[in-house]
Amino acid sequence: MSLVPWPVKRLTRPGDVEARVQRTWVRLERTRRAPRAVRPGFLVAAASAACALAVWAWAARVPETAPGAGPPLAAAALTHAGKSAEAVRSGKLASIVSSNALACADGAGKLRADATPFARASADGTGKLRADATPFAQASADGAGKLRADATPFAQASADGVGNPRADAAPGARASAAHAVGALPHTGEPHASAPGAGGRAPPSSRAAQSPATVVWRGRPTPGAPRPPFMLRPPSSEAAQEDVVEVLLASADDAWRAGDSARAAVLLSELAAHHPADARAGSALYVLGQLQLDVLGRPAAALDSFERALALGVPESLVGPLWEAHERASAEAGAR
Amino acid sequence: MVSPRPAPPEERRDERAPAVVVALRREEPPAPLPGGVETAGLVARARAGDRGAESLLYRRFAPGLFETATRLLRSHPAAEDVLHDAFLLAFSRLAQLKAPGQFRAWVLAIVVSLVRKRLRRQRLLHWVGLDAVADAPLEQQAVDGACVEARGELAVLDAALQALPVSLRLAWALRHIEGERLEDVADALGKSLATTKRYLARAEAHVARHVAVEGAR
Repeated sequence: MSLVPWPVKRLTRPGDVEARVQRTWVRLERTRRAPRAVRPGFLVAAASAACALAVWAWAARVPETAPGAGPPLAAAALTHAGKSAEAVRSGKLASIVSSNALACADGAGKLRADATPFARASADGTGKLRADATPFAQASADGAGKLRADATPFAQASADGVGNPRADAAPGARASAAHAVGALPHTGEPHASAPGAGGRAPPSSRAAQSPATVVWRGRPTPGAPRPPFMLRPPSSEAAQEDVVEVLLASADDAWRAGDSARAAVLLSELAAHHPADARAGSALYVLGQLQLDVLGRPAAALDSFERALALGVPESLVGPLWEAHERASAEAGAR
Repeated sequence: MVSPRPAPPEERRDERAPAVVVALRREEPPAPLPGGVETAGLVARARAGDRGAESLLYRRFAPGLFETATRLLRSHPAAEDVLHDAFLLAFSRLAQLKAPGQFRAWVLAIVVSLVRKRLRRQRLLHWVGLDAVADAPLEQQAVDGACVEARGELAVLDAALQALPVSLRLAWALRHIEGERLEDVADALGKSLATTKRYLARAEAHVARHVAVEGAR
């Protein structure tokens, strides 16, 4: 007998066909109703995109404080002087209040611009303050009427005037001021390094005569208003007066905030760069008081009192000035 | 030798069936479900989104295709998988069917394509020492009333087919076990008619060396 070819189909019958077919139909219906499975390739692509986005976000972030470098820089100010001082002199004070915030102040008050990792703050002399999206963080103010604050992952901030003063805060919370004639020491931990921060920077040929203060105060204030920048044209006497006024106001603010060192720096800047101003003598008197009573530097206080006597003070201050001078002389001689 | 044979008409199939098969003829397969509706009409309704028509198409053709897949693959679970994938693919690509009346042949081509992939994969696994489990060789698929001799011949035939290349095995099985038309075999294999005939000739020669063929003695 031979089965080949025809009887094979009739001789064979897979077992339990109906049940298996019905089971397969149920499975088929379930598969068709189920949401389509995501392809592995799509998953890989999505994961890669997420990783890339995370890396980009991490790289673009602005460190609020320097990693592992202790408390943030409390204050660092620099002043520059030079022939082109007029430009910056009209620009009042440009303060970098955080790694991503820049404040500009004049006699009418302080103006502030916040820059996020996606925002660049800039101001020009036309009275406009702008915030542009950028992952970089550099702050600068120049005498041409431009003021910029860019937040970078490296938290670099600079105030670039005609004299190119700069204050850079690196990941190590370093602040530097290049081409600056003088800079105030910061009251926080000495994260500041580079010329100009924590000491007098070497004078530059381009150093301007007008003060430009760069202040690092720590973290920015979210949602801070962005008032118009009030930079005035260079070579303006009114602007120069405003600078002195702003210096005094800032020193007063610093004093009331308990930041005596910064107040002393501001007063020193005022006396150094605006000796012709009628308020310079008074400023030196106040500076001497700070140095003598608060900072414990009687020698420096004695020098300040002598300069105040040379410049002249209002009548009401002559007596107290001499008394302070004698006390400073005694303490300085005792040491 | 096994001579190429045309599509087996039912009357001739009856004449050539051995006594044991004739004795089993009372065990008729289930009636096709449900009848009365043209396949083309069901396909048209299924294309329009009628899930009921899809169900009818499945119930009409799935049992036969499942048996075919089981005989080709020698495995019930693998046949279920192929049936599932084939109808899933068919229903999702129903719009591509040019001749709605040829639904069965179209799905059969899909089934054969999937079976061929599985057989080739099994061959690769065999080369690396991983043999697929064949829970349903031909002799185990024999009907309950099959005699020992018939089961023995089925086992010999199954072993002979296993020695064939996949394409040749499929061509022979579709033609001489499933009784498909030569054109349908060619379509299912995706080969030309001449190539299919060549496959069949080679496969028949191989089978004839292992299995006694009626008329060749």
